[in-house]
Amino acid sequence: MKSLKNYSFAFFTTLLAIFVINGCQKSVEPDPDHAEAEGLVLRMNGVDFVTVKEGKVTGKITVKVGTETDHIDIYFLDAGGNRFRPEGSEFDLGWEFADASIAEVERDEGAKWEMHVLGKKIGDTTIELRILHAGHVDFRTPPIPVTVTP
Amino acid sequence: MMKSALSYHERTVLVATAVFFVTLLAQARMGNEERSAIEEQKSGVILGKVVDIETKEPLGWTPVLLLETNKAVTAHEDGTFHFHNVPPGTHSLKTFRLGYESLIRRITVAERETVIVTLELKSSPLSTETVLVLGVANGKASSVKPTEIITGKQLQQQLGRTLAETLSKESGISQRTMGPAPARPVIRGLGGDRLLILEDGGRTGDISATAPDHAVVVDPLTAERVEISRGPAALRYGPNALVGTINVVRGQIPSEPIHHVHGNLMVHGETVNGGLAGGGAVSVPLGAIVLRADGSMRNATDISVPNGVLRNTYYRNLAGSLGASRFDDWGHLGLAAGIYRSQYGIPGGFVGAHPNGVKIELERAHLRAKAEVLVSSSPFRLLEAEFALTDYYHRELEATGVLGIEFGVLTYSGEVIAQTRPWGFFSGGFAGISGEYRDFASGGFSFTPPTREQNLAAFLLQEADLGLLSLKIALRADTRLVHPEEEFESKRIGLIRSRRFSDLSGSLAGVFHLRSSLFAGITFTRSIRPPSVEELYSEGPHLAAYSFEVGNPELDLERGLGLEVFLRYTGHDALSQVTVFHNDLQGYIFPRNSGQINFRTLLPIYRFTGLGAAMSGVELSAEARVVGSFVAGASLNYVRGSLKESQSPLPMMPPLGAKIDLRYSTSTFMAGVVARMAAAQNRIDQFEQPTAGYTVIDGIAQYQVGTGAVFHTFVLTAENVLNTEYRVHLSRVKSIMPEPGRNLKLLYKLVF
Repeated sequence: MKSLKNYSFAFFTTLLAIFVINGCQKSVEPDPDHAEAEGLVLRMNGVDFVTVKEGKVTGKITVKVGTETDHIDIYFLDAGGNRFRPEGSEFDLGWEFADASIAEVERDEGAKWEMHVLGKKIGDTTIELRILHAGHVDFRTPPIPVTVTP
Repeated sequence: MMKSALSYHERTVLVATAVFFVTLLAQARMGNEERSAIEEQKSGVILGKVVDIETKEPLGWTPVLLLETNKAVTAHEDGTFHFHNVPPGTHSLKTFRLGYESLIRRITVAERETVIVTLELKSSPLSTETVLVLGVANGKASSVKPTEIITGKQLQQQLGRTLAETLSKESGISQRTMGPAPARPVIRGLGGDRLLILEDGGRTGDISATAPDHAVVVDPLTAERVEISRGPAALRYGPNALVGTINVVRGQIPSEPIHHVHGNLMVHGETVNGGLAGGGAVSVPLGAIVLRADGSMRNATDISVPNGVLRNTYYRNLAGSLGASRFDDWGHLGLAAGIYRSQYGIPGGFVGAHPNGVKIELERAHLRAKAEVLVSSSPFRLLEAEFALTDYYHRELEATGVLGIEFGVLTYSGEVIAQTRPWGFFSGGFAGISGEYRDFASGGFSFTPPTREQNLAAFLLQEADLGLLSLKIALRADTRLVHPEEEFESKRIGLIRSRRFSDLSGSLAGVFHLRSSLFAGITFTRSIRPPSVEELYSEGPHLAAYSFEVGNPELDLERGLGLEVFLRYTGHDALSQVTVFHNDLQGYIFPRNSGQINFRTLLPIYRFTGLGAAMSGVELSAEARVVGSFVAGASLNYVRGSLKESQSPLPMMPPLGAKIDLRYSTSTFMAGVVARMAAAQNRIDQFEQPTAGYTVIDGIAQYQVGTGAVFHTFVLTAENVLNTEYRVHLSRVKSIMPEPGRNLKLLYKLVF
């Protein structure tokens, strides 16, 4: 039984080391403070021209090729339909065009929830707008039509 | 891109392993007294030889299992094998080989006795490897071990990209998939953690049971064998294994001393996705210590289907482990550590899915220590103790690289099992206790709170031989605490709080030896299943599962009652079995499509629901020698699942399936064709899509040859020879993804 004691010692010493080392492990950091958006409004020159409610898109973005739209304000809608903009440095605007060769987004410095759309090539595409939060997406719109005209 | 450097936990595991090995090696050099200990053992020894019953020629490279101790060896090239440290008592030796009938031989080993046994195999073209192990000895049913074992040639013939695909070639086993990489087996309509997947008898520590996009972290490539246990035997591992457990045996902790270097190498390629896989294992004796290492890799590009190529269906896997055991007269002590890394795509482009799919990266590090101690004077004959640590991490990324969700699970588990001596009318069995601590956290766009789970269990299994009747009974008591980090009222799903679930489970199986080759059996099982963390507390999008999952903190234990009856004929020229079963579940928990869309994520909302459900079905299989070495076989399986209250169909139920095969088989060569068929599944839940029936033809050829001290195996497989476009009902991506088209696979395995 002497050898059994020797190995038990080695065994439990090793296990102890594992417990100690794992006691200070890094882990996944949950962050439940997500933006509570369920819809979106795009507003230009005082007019709501695109609305996203209950997953449905009303309106479209139109821009002439080689030009950019006027200033577009972005507001999000909560479950009660109230407009809001996420506050905090961890939130930002994200977007993705189905065809990035047709249009692109330009933003004024420091204007997190505002944008211009630039027409690059005549044609139709779509844009998906998102709320980015600490590296992930808290809200995304369905594809919003974008038309670049002559 | 996969990380090139080892993670924090992998380094931890490797450092701890190194500490342990150094300690063992140091002690191995302490003196000759200990090094020769295995020659002075007090327990019994089995020395054996496997031969052909007619020619008496040795049958080298034949696997031999000592069933009661879960030990396995492969006979040397001269057919000899040995088992050391065999506890005194009666044991079952099982062996099987291409072109021969499988054999189970009961032997009794006394204390300090060396038993010499010759296993004589009778040639037969029938596929006898996956028979139910009934423990037949001297013409009587001597024990009940309702376990199917897939090993050797059959495992190589069936080898697929995943464990589930490998097993799906078995009658009655389906696979739930979401692309080529994430797949999990389904038996009799039940999957998830109702069908536990184990690696070397321990939990895998992954989260593949909770969602269809999560892969199993076990690669079948380096498996020695796969054991499917049902009834009482399954209760050792958990209270919720209503349809059984699947144990992938890799032998990472050596269980038998060896006298020279053993190992294997394997290469596997396939055309349908340019897939290439390779792996191997080597075991080295060092005095009383055996060192073992294994490794494997897989790499495949997007998969081809009859009408094109499916984007984002690639996968890359890398796995490896190191293990060592020290053998002494009191038993053995071993430890193994391993890593598993995988990266794979989930196809997109259908309703509710991301247009370009999702990428998943996962990694697991594990460490397992095990001790076996022989006991000479007590009600027990062998004590087993095991400890395992598993660290699992997984993240799901959009095609643009943006994080969707991530999971981290740290699991500590341990168990102590005592094998019992015969008492009363029981011939033996075991009793044990086990514990598990699980720390779960999710990040990204997730509302599921960090949660800790603690599980304690005690279990008992005993066997009895009553002449022509063999019985096996198992009882188990579990208590599980699910403890979220904080208690709070969620406005969407209710009060999130700690929950405790405690209850008993059990199983009773009996096998009656009706006539010389005819057996009948019956199994009753009562199972319990606590709801998982995700089922209780989820409240958010699951990126790669393309679902918005809503948990229910009020869910109660799922309780199941199962009944199974079978009749089996095992003749020299024919085998057949018919099984009927009925499983009744109270509070059956499943994610049900609500038909609603979450407008924040545009994902369909699935609500975890607990409702009464029932599943009934039948399984038939038969094969017979047609002429000479030609064998014809057929199998059929059917399950019908319904919600008890409404009698409406349960979702994700496999359709009627069947298989017909014809093959030519000798002791070195096998070739055959197989027709796989499924009926249309039109009996579907609300919001579920029907699936058309199909027939697919496969072909296979296998050749084995020994040259000196090396044994070679070649397997050539042609899947879906006619390039048929077909879809499987249990695929979550069937609307965009037919099953793979024509595929040629070549496997070469070398054993030394």
